[in-house]
Amino acid sequence: MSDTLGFYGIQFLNGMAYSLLLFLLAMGLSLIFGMMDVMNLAHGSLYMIGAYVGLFFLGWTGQFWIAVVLVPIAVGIIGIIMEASLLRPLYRRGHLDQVLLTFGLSFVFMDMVKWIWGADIRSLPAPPGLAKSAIIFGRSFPEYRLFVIVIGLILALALWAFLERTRLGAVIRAGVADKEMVSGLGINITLVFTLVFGLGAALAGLSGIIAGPVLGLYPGMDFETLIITLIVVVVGGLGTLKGSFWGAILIGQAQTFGKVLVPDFALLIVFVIMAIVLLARPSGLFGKEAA
Amino acid sequence: MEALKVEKLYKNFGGLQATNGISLKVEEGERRAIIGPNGAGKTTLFNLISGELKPSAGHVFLHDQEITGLQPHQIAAKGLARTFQRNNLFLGLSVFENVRIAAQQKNGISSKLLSPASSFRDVNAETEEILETLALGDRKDILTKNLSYGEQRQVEIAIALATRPKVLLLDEPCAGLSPTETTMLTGMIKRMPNDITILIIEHDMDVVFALADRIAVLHYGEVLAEGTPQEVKANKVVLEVYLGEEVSNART
Amino acid sequence: MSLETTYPAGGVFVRSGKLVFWLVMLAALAAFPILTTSAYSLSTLTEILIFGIFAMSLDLLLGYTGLISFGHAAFFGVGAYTAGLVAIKIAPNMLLTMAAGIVVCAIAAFVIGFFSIRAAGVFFLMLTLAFSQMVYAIAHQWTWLTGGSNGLAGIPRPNLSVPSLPIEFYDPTKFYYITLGIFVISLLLLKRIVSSPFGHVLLGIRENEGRMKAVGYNTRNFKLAAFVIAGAFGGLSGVLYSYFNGFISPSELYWTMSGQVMVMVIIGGAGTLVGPVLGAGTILLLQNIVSSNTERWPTIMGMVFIFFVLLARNGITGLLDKVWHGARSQVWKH
Repeated sequence: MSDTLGFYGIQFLNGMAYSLLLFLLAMGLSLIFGMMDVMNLAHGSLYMIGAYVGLFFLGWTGQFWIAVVLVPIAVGIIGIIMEASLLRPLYRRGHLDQVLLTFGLSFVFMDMVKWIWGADIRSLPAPPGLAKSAIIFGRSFPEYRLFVIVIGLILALALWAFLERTRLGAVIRAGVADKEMVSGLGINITLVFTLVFGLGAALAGLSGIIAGPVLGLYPGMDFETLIITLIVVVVGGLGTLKGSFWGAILIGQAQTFGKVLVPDFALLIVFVIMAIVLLARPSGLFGKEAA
Repeated sequence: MEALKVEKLYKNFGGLQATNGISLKVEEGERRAIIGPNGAGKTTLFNLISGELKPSAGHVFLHDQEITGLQPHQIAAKGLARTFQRNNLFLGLSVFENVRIAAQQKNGISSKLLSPASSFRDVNAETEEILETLALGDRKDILTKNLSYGEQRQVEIAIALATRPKVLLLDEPCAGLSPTETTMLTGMIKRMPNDITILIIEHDMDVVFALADRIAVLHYGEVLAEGTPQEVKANKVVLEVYLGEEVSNART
Repeated sequence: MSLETTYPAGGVFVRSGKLVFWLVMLAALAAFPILTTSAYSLSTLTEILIFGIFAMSLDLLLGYTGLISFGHAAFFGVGAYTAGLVAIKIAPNMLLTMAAGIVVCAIAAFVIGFFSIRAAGVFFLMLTLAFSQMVYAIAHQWTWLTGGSNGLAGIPRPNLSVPSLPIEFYDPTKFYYITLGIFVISLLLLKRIVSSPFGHVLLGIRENEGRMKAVGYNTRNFKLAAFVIAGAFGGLSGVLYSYFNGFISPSELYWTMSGQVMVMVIIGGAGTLVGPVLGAGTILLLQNIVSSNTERWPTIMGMVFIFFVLLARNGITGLLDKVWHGARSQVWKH
């Protein structure tokens, strides 16, 4: 009995760690979409770049924590360059062209990473202080995953505070709700777009390096992650923190439990959840009505 | 029999009451103008009738058949067509194609997969006829986006007319037109077949008085007054809140 | 080159010489095996025709209906797997495998379309992408049926057992002619569909779906029908590919395949039928040239695609039209 409890408890924690990584990704994707109507199909690529650039920084500095700080900055800058140089010229042309552009970029990024780091599976070691296992529910559980859960919750709280309590956060929320209003307020909307895109990219990069020691680094991780993030966003609803959070928990837990209980159908479970949610609420659990 | 009957129609957006219990009865073949200041709920009323919006409460009947809450395409298929305040066209298609698409819907050929659209002679003939009615005959091969604003306004009506409606809602057909264009378009509307029941929202009082059998004045989402043009002209309350101001505006 | 236009009812363009052009093209394609002795070029051209069908089928959604499907590889893959499995487990009969591939794809398209079409715009795009990845996951995981990541090998060459009409697939030239025949039939069918009243409804949906509803169209049904037709033709191209390759792996329905066919349509010219075929030709030829010199094909394809999105959104047909008819035609002004 207690062993069963232990098993489910551990899986729940695994699910939480995974869910919170998904939340960081979904939040970036969702904010960018809510703000600019751009579905960034290179979002998974930014996650992958975060992991590989993390590997590079780790090799260079030997310090995981320095890498954790540098990666979001680096990937955030990549995002800002992407937005300012390629996406901005397309704002007048409608959203489809921007989506297509990010799609083209995802091919380039995928190949670049393969070119630089090769096609082999790589691993990112957990930082020395967190490499051991703790005993929880009578079973051993990697400390690093506990760290992922804690950092994920802290970041979720920080993002919430940023969106709800700061001026820029208020502008972003207003922009998601009603773009015309924001440009009417005399705010430099172009700058806000760039910042939001950079923030989304930084979040994706950060989740990439944090996920590295748990999920590993391999070609194809970009699109695998993009798909599951898209599902989270579709299920949770676009443009809200609440939607990304609960969508991530639902999908993350479903996939984790699916993998251990019915390994053959894990992915299918996720798709079934998506189909059910969409039938019941076409704009997602917390989405605005009628897109 | 009424062609269109609206019963105690309510619509609120958040806390805002856009229509506040509007009731209307429009006889078959009648030309009914809906006037009122901006924000009186005129376009909202049209959206509620045509299914673009769902009413919070109330009923809409088209020839005694309830259509409340149906989808726009279901209502359109029952014989109600509308035009839009802002041009709502197929800009990348030719003028002819804009009208033909609407005409083929009524003719029930839209699920034909393997015969060329050009081979359906009666639909094409009907399209030509409607284009002539709206003086667009010589513009038919031009892409709609290359038309002048006034001509686009005519296409807007031609599309609605091509569905062969029993009831036609015109939302400010003359908005943004020059006086000459307005006179021309008013004439075209006037010449439409008598069996079509027409509701028209219009700010230009000359147009309203030229066309309307009866007028309903909306104010804050309610029917303030209703009657023949003479009755409405003579109504002191209407003059006070709306007409006086509007008439003087129209004349300037 | 072609006088195709995004806006079929234009009437501004020149029609003379159109039929002659097509007959010359067809004659050139028919004479190709006689003119070349290179087995490699023949095989490349066969592949281009197969992908031409695939790209045209996507363009029915993308260019004609305005539905941005990012998961079209699902149908290519399902068609190929179905044909392969029927050939292995039942009989390698061409008509049987082809019918099975098309029917299964039409059903799959109905199911995927039913869910995806409820959503609009970017949501539709995400759903088609997600569904196609689900199909990929199935092909990847159900090893007992599909061979999993090893792929489905040993697909027997199909035959057409009609007495007195010996058609077999071992000879590349004969297979080329079969492919060419199916390609021409597909092109003519799709041409008919896009110029039919139904096709014009699709154009109306592309231009302004809201107004289509207001004139009485249940647009959801039309979009679903277009999705099923596109799925069926996509499946047909997959069936041909299974004959062509003799081997299928899950990568045939991975997102990169959906991406590649999307690239073909956009750089060829969406909203025309020749465009996607030209796009397929360009991409496959370019791929052959690039791949023999460098491994960086995805980077180059991505960049070519970005170039077209940024600077030549009407694709190759758009560019050709500008060059050939620029002065005379207003149709392409966008």
